[in-house]
Order: sequence, then C-alpha cells, then structure tokens
Amino acid sequence: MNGVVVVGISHKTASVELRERFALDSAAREQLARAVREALGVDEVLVLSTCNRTEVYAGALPSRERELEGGAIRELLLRLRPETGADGAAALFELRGLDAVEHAFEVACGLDSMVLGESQILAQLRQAFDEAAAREAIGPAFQELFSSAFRVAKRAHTETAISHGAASIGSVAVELAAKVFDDLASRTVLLLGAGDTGETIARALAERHVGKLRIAGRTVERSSRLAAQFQAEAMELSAALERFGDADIVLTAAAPPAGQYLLDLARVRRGLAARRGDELLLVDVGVPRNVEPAVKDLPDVFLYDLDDLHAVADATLERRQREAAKVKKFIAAAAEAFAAWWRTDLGMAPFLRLFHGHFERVRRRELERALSRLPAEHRELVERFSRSLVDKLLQAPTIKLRNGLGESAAARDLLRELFDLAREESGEEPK
Amino acid sequence: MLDRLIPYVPSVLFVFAAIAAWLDVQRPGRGARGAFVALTILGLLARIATIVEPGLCPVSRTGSSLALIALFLALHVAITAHQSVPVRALAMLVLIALLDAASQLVGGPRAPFHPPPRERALAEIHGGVLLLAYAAFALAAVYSLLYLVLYRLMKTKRLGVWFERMPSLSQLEGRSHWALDAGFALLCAGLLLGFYTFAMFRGGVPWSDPKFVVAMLTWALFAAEMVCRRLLRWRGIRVMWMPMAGALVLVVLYAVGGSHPFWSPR
Repeated sequence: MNGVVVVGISHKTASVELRERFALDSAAREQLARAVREALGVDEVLVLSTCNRTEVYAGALPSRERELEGGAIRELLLRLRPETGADGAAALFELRGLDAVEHAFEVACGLDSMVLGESQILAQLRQAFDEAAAREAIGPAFQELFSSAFRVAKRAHTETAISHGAASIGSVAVELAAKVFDDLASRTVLLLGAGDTGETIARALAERHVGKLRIAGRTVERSSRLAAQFQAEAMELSAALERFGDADIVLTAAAPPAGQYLLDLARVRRGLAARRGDELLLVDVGVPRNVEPAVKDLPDVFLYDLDDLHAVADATLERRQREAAKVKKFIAAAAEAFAAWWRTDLGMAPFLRLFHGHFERVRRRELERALSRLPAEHRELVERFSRSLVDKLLQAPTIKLRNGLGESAAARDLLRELFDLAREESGEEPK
Repeated sequence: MLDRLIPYVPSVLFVFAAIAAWLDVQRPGRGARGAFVALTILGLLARIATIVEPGLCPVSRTGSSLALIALFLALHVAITAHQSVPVRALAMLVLIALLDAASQLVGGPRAPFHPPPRERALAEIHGGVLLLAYAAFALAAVYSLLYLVLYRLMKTKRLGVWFERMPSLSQLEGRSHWALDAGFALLCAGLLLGFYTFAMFRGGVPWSDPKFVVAMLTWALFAAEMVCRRLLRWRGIRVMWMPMAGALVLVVLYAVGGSHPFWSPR
C-alpha cells in the first residue's frame, strides 16, 4: 500500500516561528494542492494547515501500480516558503503507506496534537477534507481514508476519556467557571493585573463569551491596552478592588508588595457580604500569591492558585496518556481494516470490473440472440434468469478473489488467459 | 415464594437502571443511556401493574404511596433522560430504587376505606396532590445533595471524572429551587384540601394526630426556606441544605405514618 504519502511539519519537528512561516491561507492551500496534483500526477490531495501543523496528503489509486514519494511535495513546499531555508527542509517529515495512514488517524484522534487528545484538530481536518472535496481532489482512496479517520476519532472521543478534562491552565479556569456558573454570558469577569498567565486565562474566558470583562492594572493606560484586545472595560486597580464583589469570576495576576495581599480575608469578606450567597470563583495566578490563602475556607468562595491549576492540568494529561494506549489499539485496527480494503476492494476493483464486464458482455450478446426468437411475454423472465445465473456462477470466484486470491499476479494472469480478458483490456469485443 | 418476590421486580429493574446510569457516568456513549431509560420505563410499567388494585386508592397505604412517589420520580427521569447529566440520573435512580424497595418492605395495613363517594373523591385528590408535592421535595433533595457533593469536590479541588459529569452549581441550585416552588405550592393546596375535607366530613381540626403535627412542621420548614430564598434573597450553600432537612422531615412523616395509615377512617 504505497499509494499514500504525507509530507509536512508539526510542533514535533518545528518551532513555532518555523510553523508560522509554513502556515498556509486558503489561497496558498489551493495553489499548493494544484501544484502537487500536477507534479505527482495524482488525483487525490488534501492540505491541512493549522497553528501546530502544515501537512500535505497525496494519494494514487493502486490500479496505477506506482509508489508515491514525497520528494516533489517537499520541493513544492520549500519553493512556496523559500525563506524557511535549510531549517525548513530539516523540519519537514515524510511518511508513506501504512505509516501515513496511521499518522492521519493519530492526527484525527488528537494523539499527535500539542495538547494530547484535544478535539479541535478533528474539526480542522474535516474542514480540510471539505475544502479538498470542493476542489474535486477526493477520490475513493481518500474518501475511505478520511472517513475511517473520522470514525476512529469519534470512537476515541466517545469510548475513551482521551478528550475529557481540562489539560491547560486556561481550560481549567474555563471549566471551573462553567461548573460554578451555568451561563457565562450573564457573568462578569474581573482581571486584576495583566501578566502573561492572566492574559491567557482572560483570553480563554473571552472566547467563551463572558458577559462583561473588566481589566484593572496599576494605571488605566496599561489596562486600556489589554482591554482593547478583548473589548473589555479598563479600570484603575484601586477602583476595581473596591467593587470586586460585583464580579463573579476574579482573576488576579498582579505583583503586590512583599508580604501583602491584593485581596485579603477582610476585603473578600466585605465583597461576599453583598453577594448574599452567590458563589465567587477566585483564580490567583500571581506570584507571589495575590489572595490570602485563608480565603479558601470562606463559604461560597472557590479559590484556585497557579499550583492548583497546574495540578489539575497535569492530572488530566496523565489520565489522557493512559487513555492514549486504548486509542492506539483502535487506530491499529482501523489501519489494518483500511489496508485490507485497499488491497481487496480498491486494489481488486479494476480487475473485478474487467472480469465481471466480460461475463456481462457475453450474457447480453447471448440474451439478444435468444430474445429475438422468443415471444414478448417470456422476455423478462429470461432476462432475469440470465442475470441470476451469471451472478450465481461468479459469486464464489469473486469472493475468492477479494479474499486474497486476487493479490496473486499468477492467478490474475491465469484468469486473463482462460477468459481472454487481455483482448477486452485492449478494447476488443470478446469472442 | 414467587408471589412474595414478584412485587420486588420493579425495584430490581430500578437497581439495574441505576447500574446502567452508573456505566453511563463512567463511559458515556455506549448505549448505557438507552439502557437506563428502557429499564426505568420497564420498572415504571411494572410498578403501575402492581400498584393499581381494583377498588383501592393507591394513596390508602403507606407502601403504595411511597411507590407512587417513586413512580413520579421515575417518570421525571424517563422524560428528562435525553437532556439529563448522567450523575443526576444516577442519583435519582438510586433514590427511586430505595423508595420503591421501601414501599414493598413497609407495606402497611390495607385500610377498609368506604366513605361516602364525595369524601372519598376529595380524600384521593388530597392524597394525590400531597404525594406529588413530596415527589417534588424528593427531587429538590436530590438536586441539593448533588449541589453539596459538587461544592465539596470544588472546595477540596478533586476535579476528577465525577466532577466532569456534574451539571453546574447554578443549574443544580436553579432546578432545586424550581422543584421546591412546585412542591410548596402543591403542599399548600394538598393541606388546604385536607383541612376542608376533614372539617366538612369529620368536623374540627385533628390537633392530636401526630401525622397532622409532622405535616405542619414540614410546611413550616419549607415556608422558612421560601422566606429565606424569596424575601431575604439567600443563595448558594446557606439555603441548599434546607431541602435535605425537608426530606428528613418527610421520612419522619412516613415513619409516624404507622400510627395513622394514609387516609384511614377515624
């Protein structure tokens, strides 16, 4: 099964700077796909470009009996991005045959993702598939390959816990918020300070369309810059601290003076009094900590610091690692099924068409002769009889051919010789 | 022997439904949800077949009234299964299986209840409305229990599989409050109907009846909960223990039911 090849870069082979240079927009993907089809003379090409990978899949039907190599794809990719130079060439990987198939399945299941088990890649792969289908670059081989990939990914996500839990600090915070408050669109988030981690979490929450996002820094100018990014409200830190009880989710990422807390026990108590039992989620990602640890014992407050978030994310990743072993078994079974399909259904299809075509032509010729001598009321019966007879006669040899006999060139040659199929292959009428 | 085991068939079906719901919590998407819904419906039909006795109101015995509460809850699980979070269905099915099994263990004397038709009709409506109210309170208690479990998981930072399968705190609180509101309205209606029926056919108020006293205590507790929530606008953990306490009082109400079978003539 050497008719499938994949060439590309991913987070495993290239730095983010290099991946950024290889990232392809819709027009570039289309241009590359066309160039690959022309250069390799193949009908099936799929280009996948995300922030963590750029991959080109090419497929040639087994009837063409040729081994695909990725050299031409490499050259085209490097020609498209000449600025990547030697680093780009070194980062490109190439997989062929069953390895390429297994890789496609691993990508679909999220096993090859930066965050193990994430499911966003599946949607991106579907989008790439739809794009390729719209370009008419999906044939029987890729139809089966990517349908199998989507099936195995669905199985992985439903039958294992590979995508369960939050695996990054941002997603842990979002999951916590969603577990406390049903509808984030009606909630207010307050970000105190603006470190990188705080910004990451604010971005993750903003993507979930929180109702209001307020950002407070030491100065309004500083917080305004960040607020503009998220369409948030900028505030001064002192004002935000006075009104912090209005917010449902408070992220703290400031740098308070040593030995002091931005939110001490007394201030949090005052803030809670106005909430009358409404829960408050405090996520403290500041170092040193911004919230007095004793706050965690107050009712209606859930306090999580950076260590807590890391612990949750690490535990999730550990659990996903265990689940990955199960997913790999699904992938091995799916790859084996695909290889069998390639050998039999796809590999044998042209020969079976020829074999069945011979008998069909003989049947039609003899039927025409017989029908001309038969009364009209018997014609349909004879037509059905002839079709049924040929189907029955061919049933056993077809099964044998599909189940392995057809892989033998000697067997195919013998059948060609016996039924004079070579003559029909050249377009002549059977005797 | 077989005759004594047959009444427990619905309980067994509810236990199997709970096991299927537990599997749904552990590994969703393997048909476990379909299985627990099917088993719940089977249990429900089986209990209906055993609870309906010709000429006897299902609220006339402690056991059958408990089974009726389990029935209402099972109906709720079956109807909301498609939108239910697996842990919620699991908690409900455990409660249903327990109530249903208890209904057969408790049984209760078959009350020779042959009052005039008008009194009997009012008594049956009174009993049915109150049982619906108790089912709503049981529902509220399940939501409160889940709220307390999730609250504890979040406080202790144990964010494992059970945490993932839980609905949000605000959703649990909202549903618990909805069930409490419905239960309280039904409780008021049921009690008023009881007073009216008693006054009309027996005369006066049954002050010395322990069941009446516990029923009034139940009303007072749920009324206090309504005041805290509606007038004082309390939210969260400070009100979420109340439905649990209410459920406990309801258990007491049933425990004292022995001295006062459901709607037996005095």
